[in-house]
Amino acid sequence: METVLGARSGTAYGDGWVRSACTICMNRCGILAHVNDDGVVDKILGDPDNPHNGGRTCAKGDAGFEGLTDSDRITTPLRRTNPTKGVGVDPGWVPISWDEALDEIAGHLRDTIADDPEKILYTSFDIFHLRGALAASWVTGLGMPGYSTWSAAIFCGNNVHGIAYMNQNAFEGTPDPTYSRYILNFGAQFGSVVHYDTMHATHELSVRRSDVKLVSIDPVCSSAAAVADEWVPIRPGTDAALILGMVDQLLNELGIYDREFLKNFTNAAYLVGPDGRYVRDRHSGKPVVWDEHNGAQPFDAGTGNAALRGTYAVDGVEARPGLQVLADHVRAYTPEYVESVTTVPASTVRRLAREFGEAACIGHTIEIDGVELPYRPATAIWYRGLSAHKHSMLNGLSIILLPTLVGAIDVPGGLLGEPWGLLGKVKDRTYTSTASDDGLISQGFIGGGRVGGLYPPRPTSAPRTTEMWELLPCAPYGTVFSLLNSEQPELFGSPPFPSMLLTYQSNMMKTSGPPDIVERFIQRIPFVASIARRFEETTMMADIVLPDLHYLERLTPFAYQHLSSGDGLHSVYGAKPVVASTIQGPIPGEPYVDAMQIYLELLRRAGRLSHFNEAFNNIAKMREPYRLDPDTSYSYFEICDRWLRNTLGDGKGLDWHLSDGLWTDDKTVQEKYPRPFFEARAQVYFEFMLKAKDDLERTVQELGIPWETDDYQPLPDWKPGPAYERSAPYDLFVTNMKVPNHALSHTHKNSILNTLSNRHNDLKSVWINPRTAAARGITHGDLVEIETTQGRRQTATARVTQLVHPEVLATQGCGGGWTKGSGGAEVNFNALLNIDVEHIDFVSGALDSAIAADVRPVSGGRR
Amino acid sequence: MTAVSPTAGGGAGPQNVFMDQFNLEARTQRVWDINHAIWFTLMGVGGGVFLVGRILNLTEGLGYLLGIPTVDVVSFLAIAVGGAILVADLGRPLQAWRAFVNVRTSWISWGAWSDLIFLVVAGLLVLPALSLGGSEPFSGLGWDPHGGDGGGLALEIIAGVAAVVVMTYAGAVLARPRAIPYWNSPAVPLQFLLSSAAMSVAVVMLIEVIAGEPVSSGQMVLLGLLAAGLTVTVVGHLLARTDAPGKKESLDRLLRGRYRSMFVWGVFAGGTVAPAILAFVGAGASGARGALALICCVLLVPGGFWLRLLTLRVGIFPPVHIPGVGGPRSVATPAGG
Amino acid sequence: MTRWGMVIDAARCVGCQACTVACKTENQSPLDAWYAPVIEWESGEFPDATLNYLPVLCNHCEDAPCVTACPSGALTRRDDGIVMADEDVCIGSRACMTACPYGALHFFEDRGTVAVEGAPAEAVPSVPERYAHQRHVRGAVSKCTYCAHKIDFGLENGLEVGVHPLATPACVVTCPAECRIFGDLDDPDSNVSQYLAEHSGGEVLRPDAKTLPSTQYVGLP
Repeated sequence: METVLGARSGTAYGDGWVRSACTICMNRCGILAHVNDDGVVDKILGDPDNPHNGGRTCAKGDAGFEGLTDSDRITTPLRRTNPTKGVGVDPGWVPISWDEALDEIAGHLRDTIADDPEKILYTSFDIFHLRGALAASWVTGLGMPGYSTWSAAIFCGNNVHGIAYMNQNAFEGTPDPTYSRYILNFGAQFGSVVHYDTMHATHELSVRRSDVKLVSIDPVCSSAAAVADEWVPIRPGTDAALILGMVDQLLNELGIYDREFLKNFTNAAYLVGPDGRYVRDRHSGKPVVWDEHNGAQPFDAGTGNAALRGTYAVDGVEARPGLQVLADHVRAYTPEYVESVTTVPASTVRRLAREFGEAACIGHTIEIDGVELPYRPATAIWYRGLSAHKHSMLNGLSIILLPTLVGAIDVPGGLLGEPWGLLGKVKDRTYTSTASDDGLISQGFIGGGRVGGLYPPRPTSAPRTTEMWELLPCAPYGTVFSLLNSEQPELFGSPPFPSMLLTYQSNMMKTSGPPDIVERFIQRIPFVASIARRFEETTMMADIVLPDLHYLERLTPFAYQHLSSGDGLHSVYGAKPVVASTIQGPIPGEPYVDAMQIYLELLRRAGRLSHFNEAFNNIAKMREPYRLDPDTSYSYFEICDRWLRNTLGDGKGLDWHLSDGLWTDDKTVQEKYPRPFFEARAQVYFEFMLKAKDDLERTVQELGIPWETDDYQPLPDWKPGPAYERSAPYDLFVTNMKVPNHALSHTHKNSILNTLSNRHNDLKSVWINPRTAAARGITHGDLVEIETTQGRRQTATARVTQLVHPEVLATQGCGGGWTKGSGGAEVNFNALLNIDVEHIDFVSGALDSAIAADVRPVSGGRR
Repeated sequence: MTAVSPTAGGGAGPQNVFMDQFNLEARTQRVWDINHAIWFTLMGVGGGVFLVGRILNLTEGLGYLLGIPTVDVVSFLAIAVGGAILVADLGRPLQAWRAFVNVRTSWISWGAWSDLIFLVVAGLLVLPALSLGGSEPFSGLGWDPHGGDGGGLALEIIAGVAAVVVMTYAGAVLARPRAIPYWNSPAVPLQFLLSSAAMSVAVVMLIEVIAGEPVSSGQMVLLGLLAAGLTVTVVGHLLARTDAPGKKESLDRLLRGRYRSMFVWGVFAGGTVAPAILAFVGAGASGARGALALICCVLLVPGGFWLRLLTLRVGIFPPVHIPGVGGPRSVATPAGG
Repeated sequence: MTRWGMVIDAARCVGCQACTVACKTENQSPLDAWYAPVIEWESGEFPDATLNYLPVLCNHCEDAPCVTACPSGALTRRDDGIVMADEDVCIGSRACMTACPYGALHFFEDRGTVAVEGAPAEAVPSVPERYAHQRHVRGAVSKCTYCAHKIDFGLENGLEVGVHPLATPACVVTCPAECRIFGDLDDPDSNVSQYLAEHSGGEVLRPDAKTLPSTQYVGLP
């Protein structure tokens, strides 16, 4: 079989080194992999020519080649002969041919598409396919509206992406590592090797250490909090109170907010009536502002000074600018109240607000590439620590206020959007910023091929699947509802259940909730196929298994498109086979280089290839002469070649990708810091939530199903989560955090990283504050049992430490798998979660991950 | 905070003295343990018994094996077995010869040479007396195996000097590096020397008793002085630099940890104080001397072994860094020099 | 005269263990041997507590106690300051391990699992470990060599040592926080000399041991 390999020369390190990309975490660093004389990959270094990581790699990337030569890789398609599916059940695999496997899967696809394509559930967190055109086109070609990233859609970006699109026109925001001087880490680990933009940000912040103040607000002193200048311990699930307390300080006590920015680039001045909605101009219907000379006038009349504070009468109706409503609303969040909720001292609340406000340097400018730009070097970053909660969306709407109020959005030092605008526009780089009629940024969230909320909220309708995304007008996804519907099918009137599940690099059984719940969900799905490299927990539930590749065997153009704002270069690059896979792929005679080859074959056998071609043309913005002819069957290699040429130019096809494959370009100053250059406005008053609520309540009433709409409110509040009112003995919160030598769940079978973890004992341990431990008779090293109010249990080794809030039991990592090669003694945090309405955010689809729990020594136990 | 021991490894695999857990702590060395304690003890007894026998003129008349005095046989056996244990304990025993060829600065190399020189020279010394099947094939060699003539005396002296090194070098090995503060003290080789001497005197007394010969008052006084000297040295070592990082952890482990009983009763009270007292008592009480000599031997030899083993087991490295206590390079080296 | 040395800025370290793993894959160190780990410790009391990180590795001491203690001559110090362990000469006495204040020596015990090419994954689970049995001698000690093989490669091929990634220790190359600087301590214009000058000199670990380390630290807590 002829092979397709990335060139083993021509890189910065000369012969033997192949340029490719790492897939272990979301950073997708550029790497150079070394192939020795035995043809074995024995070393990975960062690609020094890659502007994202500049020649550096993390522990995970360094160990990435481990697994290429595992003797327990799946090498052939398999069929299950044991009809029983469950944890610990032997599937009774028998090898089958690719032909048989593909025919069967394609048959199910045909049948399901004919019935209802939305009953196909495709779950994947393949990092090379994310945000690219391949996976999106695959599902669109099948007739599905999108695919599910599954666990990422339960814990990860629920309150991030929609909000980033709303206020930044981007998928997410990260602090400017080049110019930021004050960064609040709320339940995130920016600055440590555990986040987005890691290799770039960690480097920048480290070499500027004395110039930057990093503050970590976190129940646990994580690795990032350890690096930070200040760790502010906080009771889990209460961050919104602290944030709104800071907003109160900024608006009402300190008077620190960027008035010019708010007037001109946000809806802060839009007048709001007593009903909470915009006051609108009678003629144009546009929201009005109060101009000091002209009174109420449309927001875009542009005549002068719109008021941000005060109370005004418009046609006899009392109206306040949105900022005034916000300022009045947050008065309730006094420092003393915040302290009672969060355990953060009132003095700290005041101090953080003042430090943040002063660090923002409102009014200052800085010259970048000869252009004077606002300089706002203070910002906040958040992720799972704020997102995985009952009131996730309110948390997110709270925290976006901080950078927005001081004007620190897409300007030097502020929160930078990544990627900007739509994808597939590498050479064009026409960054769009569509403004709604109300003048607001209205770029819907794009993920998994699907365009989602937050603003503008999507119209609601009857749910078409168990995910019930149709009832989540402001959410990027609703995955967790699938598990809820599986557990309580009658609750929402039994929405359609998936007919088939195809899962690829998505280990749902371990990563999304208690194994018994996910097991029940999968057991109800009539047909399950899994593409896997090793027998993972979810693979063991499949009817058909197809062998997967190691990332160093893959050919995937555009694995990463680093088109973010901020200093530096644009870069686009992909993955190339460093070594040829020894596994036969789906097409005889064709080297196996990417799962797309499987998908193309399935599309062909299911009669959907033309649909795929058309979808790909649209999504990848294909132009002549590269457009795919709907009636032609292209090989994966041809598609890659056309895609590359279409995007980067005729000289940069597949050959170029294999021999070079790294495209970089300078950024214009508008691309670096876009905010001053476009007009569409961000929001500090979320009026649209009322409209979404109205629409939603109408729909659910028609459907006759219970639904929570309380959190659709135009201004955020802190509200207690399900564990807030906990009672003894379940009066602790059990939480989870990431560690820098693991990523997601798949590194937990990397023997190098596992050996390292064993030394640390992190993943088997639970961190307990000494006061808490003493009260429960626990000493360091004891074997203990964590138990939740729902009777879910995990055993762990107690690490008694000062590095954790007294009310918290802190676990690490995503371990606790039960298949071969897993660290069986690791804590499985997900096994402690609750899938019920009390723990689900009905606005964002997030699942609350601060669980009320007890901890007790296990008698006679020391590990 | 004590760290949790790792569950990985299962025994096989590299033995790093303290990097096996990624924590900043005082760490106990674990690479030298019982084998080394036995080796040290046997070397101490081996060298000491020969020396005591020759200096106190007790070698002759306490029994013979194949014509060689029992005292010397005990000495040779002890050193040979000790040496065999030393070699077997090596990671690469077949390469042991390398310790002899590239001597440089290592006390182990010097000690190995001393062991070898002793065995060869003392072996040559006694060779004329070797009796095999009724005849003495080496009786023609030109020196007196009892040290009576010039040749024999020369060999005796050389062997004696080697024996002193053999008795002491284990302590020097431990004491020279500054890595383990508890070891890094002249008290350690002094303790080993005094302990070796005391054990050896007691072993010779044991041989006397078995041979039916009386133990002299002078021997008892000598034993008492050695044991008392050992007591003073041990106490002195415990009292010196007690706050030094590493040293205090060692003292804790010795005096307040799991080794407390064995050290206080086995090594100190039983292995040094009691023998000293009993020896002085025995110096006066001629009737009980034999029994007291046996008791002293039973106390001193295991006590000596435990002294060495516990010294090894409380060999603790202080943390590589004490937060808040920094230190520049102790000797400024001019750049470009 | 060249004297290779490393400056570690402990204030920059983020405790990610990239160096720990990069060293393992570069040197294919045996089993649980980590030549360049990052050790950590807690300080303070809640809520004013934190975790501190300290990257450690062989200090390549000018007055190396391991060299002094070694009975076989396996441990030697090169003219350029690097302390090397010749595993073929090592007899496995572990004297060096008791003499080193820093725990920089690692003993590859000759007991337990034996690696055989093609053996099941459990016996030899990773590529570094498979190659460990080719590169390292069982029953001998091994250690950090400041990646002498890379330094020598750089010198032979005209690559700037400490700057070009192929001529620089693996731990230095990988560090996301750029907390390690490697170069010639005897050259006042070198990167290490300048870094030390900018930070008013460096500190060493275990100054009481007086080993004259070539690995120096700034920003030690």
